[in-house]
Amino acid sequence: MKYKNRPSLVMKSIVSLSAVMLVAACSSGDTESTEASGGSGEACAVKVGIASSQTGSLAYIDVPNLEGFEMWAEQVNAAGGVDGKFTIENVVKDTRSDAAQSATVAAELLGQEISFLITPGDADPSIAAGQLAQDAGVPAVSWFGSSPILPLAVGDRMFSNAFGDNAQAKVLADYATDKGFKTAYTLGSPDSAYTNLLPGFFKEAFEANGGTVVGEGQFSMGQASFSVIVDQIKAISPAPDVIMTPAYEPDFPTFIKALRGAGVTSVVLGTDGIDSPTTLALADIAEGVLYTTAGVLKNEGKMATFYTDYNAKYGKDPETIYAVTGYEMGMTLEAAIKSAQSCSAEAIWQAWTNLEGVQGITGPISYKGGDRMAIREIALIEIKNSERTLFGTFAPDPATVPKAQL
Amino acid sequence: MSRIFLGLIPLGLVQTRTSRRRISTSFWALLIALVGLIGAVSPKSSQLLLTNALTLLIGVLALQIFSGNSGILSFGHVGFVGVSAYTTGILSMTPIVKKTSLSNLPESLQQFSLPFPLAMLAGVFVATLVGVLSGLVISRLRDSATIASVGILIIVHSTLIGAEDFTRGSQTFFGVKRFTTVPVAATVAILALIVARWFRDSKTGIHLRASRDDVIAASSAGVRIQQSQFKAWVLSAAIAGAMGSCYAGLLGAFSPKDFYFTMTLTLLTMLIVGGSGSVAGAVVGVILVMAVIESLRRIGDSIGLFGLTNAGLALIILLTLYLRPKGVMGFHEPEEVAAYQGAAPTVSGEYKIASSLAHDQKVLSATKISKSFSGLRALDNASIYVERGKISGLIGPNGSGKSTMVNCITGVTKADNAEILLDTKLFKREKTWQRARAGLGRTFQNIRLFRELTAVDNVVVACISSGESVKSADKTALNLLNQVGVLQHAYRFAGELSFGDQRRVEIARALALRPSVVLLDEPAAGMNPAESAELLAQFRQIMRDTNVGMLLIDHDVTLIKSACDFLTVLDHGAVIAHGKPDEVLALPEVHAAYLGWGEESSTDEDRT
Repeated sequence: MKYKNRPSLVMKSIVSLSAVMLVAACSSGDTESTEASGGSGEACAVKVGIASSQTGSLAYIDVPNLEGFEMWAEQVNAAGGVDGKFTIENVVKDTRSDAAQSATVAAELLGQEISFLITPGDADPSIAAGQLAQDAGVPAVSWFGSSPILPLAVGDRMFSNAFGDNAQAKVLADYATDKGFKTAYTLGSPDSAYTNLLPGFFKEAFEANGGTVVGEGQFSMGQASFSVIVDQIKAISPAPDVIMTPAYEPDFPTFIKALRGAGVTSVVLGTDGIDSPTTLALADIAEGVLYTTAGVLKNEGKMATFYTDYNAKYGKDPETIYAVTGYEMGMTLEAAIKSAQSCSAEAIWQAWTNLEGVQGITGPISYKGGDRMAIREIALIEIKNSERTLFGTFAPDPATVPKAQL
Repeated sequence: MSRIFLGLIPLGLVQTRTSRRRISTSFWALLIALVGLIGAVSPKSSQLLLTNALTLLIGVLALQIFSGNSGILSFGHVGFVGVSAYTTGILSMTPIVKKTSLSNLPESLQQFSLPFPLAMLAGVFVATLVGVLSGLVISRLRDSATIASVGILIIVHSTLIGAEDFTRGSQTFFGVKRFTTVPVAATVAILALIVARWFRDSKTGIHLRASRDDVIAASSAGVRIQQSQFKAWVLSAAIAGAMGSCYAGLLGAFSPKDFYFTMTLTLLTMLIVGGSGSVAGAVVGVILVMAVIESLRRIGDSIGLFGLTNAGLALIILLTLYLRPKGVMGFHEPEEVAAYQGAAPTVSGEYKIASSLAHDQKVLSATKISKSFSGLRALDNASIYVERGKISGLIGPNGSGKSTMVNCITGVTKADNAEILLDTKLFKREKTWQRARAGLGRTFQNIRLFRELTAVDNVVVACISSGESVKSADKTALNLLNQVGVLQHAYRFAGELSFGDQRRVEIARALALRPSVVLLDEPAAGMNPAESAELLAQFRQIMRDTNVGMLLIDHDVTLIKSACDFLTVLDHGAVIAHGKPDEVLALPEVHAAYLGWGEESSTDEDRT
């Protein structure tokens, strides 16, 4: 019979795999922590556990963030550590963009006595990992998860390096009001938390400013045609002054082509999901679109040094603003360590909750007085001549931002 | 892979189906229990890892129950996982947590809270309900069932997103108590394992495995395929629901996107690598894939090469498909292989089809059969009769309608008009499996055995159809194989037998239905005259023993002449002669029909 003679190779691979796994398990087992915990001012190492989606659907956020963060850690350690004494020790593990894997990885990292945990740039895996950090009393910060419910769902140890979606909706609403727009149409999708909640936040802020939302459309992500929705918009009379949508690829290009094709000229407001070359490639069609994002990636001003350093380390220009936000995660941690004068998780957490006006590359970053989402500058970009043009940066007051509801 | 198990299993322990099931269930259950014990005392990260692996195992076992036994790949099971995860989450959450995370929940549910184990049962219950509803559709399909299962996944996914008041829509659902510890997951996994292994050797399980190998042969052996498929689908939906509850209690937070294609592919990868055809394959698949993921992830993390895991997974799938297309464990449980290779089949008692009817009595009269295929009249008012203890022959040139005749009688093809009387039963709209169970056995021109089942299990399938319990079917089947002279091959896989032995197993399978009539479709095809003569002697012996009537369809005029008591000749769909073989073959019109043979052989689809 066939199976009598075949198994040798398969068996060999199983045995060798198991052996490899055993070795790997041992090597990644709890190593003696180099950290001398706590005493104020004494030199020690801050062990940072990084549960990052290095592969899979979230890699586009997490990989550049990690690059920025590692570059920061290298620079700090080259200078002898934060304040010359608190060095940074990174332990990176891949979560493969999977929630269960994120929890396992976070538990592994927490088992290594880390003082600070970084979680992926999305709510599900961050909550799964953050719950464990919460139990262990270790501060956890998401790379760039922008859902404002993320910290609320976990507890007081959970933060995000991103501005909340409610904050970016507020910036768009304020822009519309300042321009004198009175009526708006919003287009969202129930298919993802991002596309589902942003229109609601915008509506709340816009109506608080005195505007009126005259229509609320819904699309399903990946739908082939937007003609029905565009017909609905055309039927609104008078036409809305502004159309707000958190749609991104492939929906945003499809939508705006149909919209402009039908002769609707209302201003279109988008969110950070469309901060990609695809949008610029739309050329004339995207002309005049405005959207919010973390910052403009440009080799000038404050970012010039970052460009130089990044080029020196990685041999290429940064491709997305997430590399910058990763570096800023480091700068924020640096401020927290400086203030804590300690390597302990508890002290760093205390310091982190009280951070105010930390000077990042895109602008000041604060956590004090917020809902544990970063209070940071939000850039409003206008597309002019198929180029990103900075319209301005805004850091809305947390008191005026629509409240995230669980 | 099977080989290492073979040495470990004492042969005496695996002689019967029940003892095999017990030893295999105990072995894997002990292994899982051991993992549970180790997990209970290991660090938190290992606990999470093992709990995740055990939770996935429950899902893979669920898939094995349906896909492994039916051969139909399902993409829909993760839908049941999701439905149950949400149900368990909603029901187990305390009212205080619900107030914040599910504020739009109906008041009655707001105040309602169940202990986790009860919430888990409720989750399984709801998954089962969804399984019943979707099963009504899935069980009617065969080739398109996989595509339909994708549809089920998409529908469940959209429903979870749409039911915002209950699920928070696409937003993260959180606040579920993290109840699933290693011992909890291990307990549920052991239960799932017991169910999966039991199902494999249940009546439905055996029938379903027969249909996996050959749909037409299965219905001709009395297998009610739709019903078997439905039962397996619902059972596996329930087990998938158990995975969902464990998953909810493992993570505490999830959203609909977690129960979609990524999880589906993870489960399918594990099942395909391990081998979908066996419960052992499901367990080994989980172990193997988890080992690859975890070892490569650790190596990748330590050297900063993060794509390693995915590359490794891709490689293991390719290697499996290349080296062992049926998975590492193949289609059979290791203890089965051990038993089949070591056991010497013995029989006790003698098998007889009791017959109260006298000889020379018409047992099958198929009359006035007409059938047209888009205008082409394949059968025109044709009739044949079979008597007990006699062999009736049906001959005719290629394209004369012999196959159509057999298909109309067995119900494979629906006749335009027919009066078919078997014993005292009048067939109208009866399905193939109903006609088989009523006593119509058959063999096929191109042998159709269940290739992945043993010779004895091929016969067991039909014994079960005729109402026997699995245990008694095992005995009867051996007796039947003894009777047709292939007892020594009882434990070999049907696909490995010689042509002649396969033919004999097929006859035993037909006899296992306790038939009144057996249709033999070119039984001597490919045999030399000596073998044909031997086969014929065997038919006569069987007929003396069982008193069945036989309908022999063949080209071979010599065989027909020596074998048949009566002969019917078909030409162009109509009966041109009927009577004693010698007389019929002497008729000029029969000669004419056969002389025209060469010119009329173009109608290949109707060839017998």
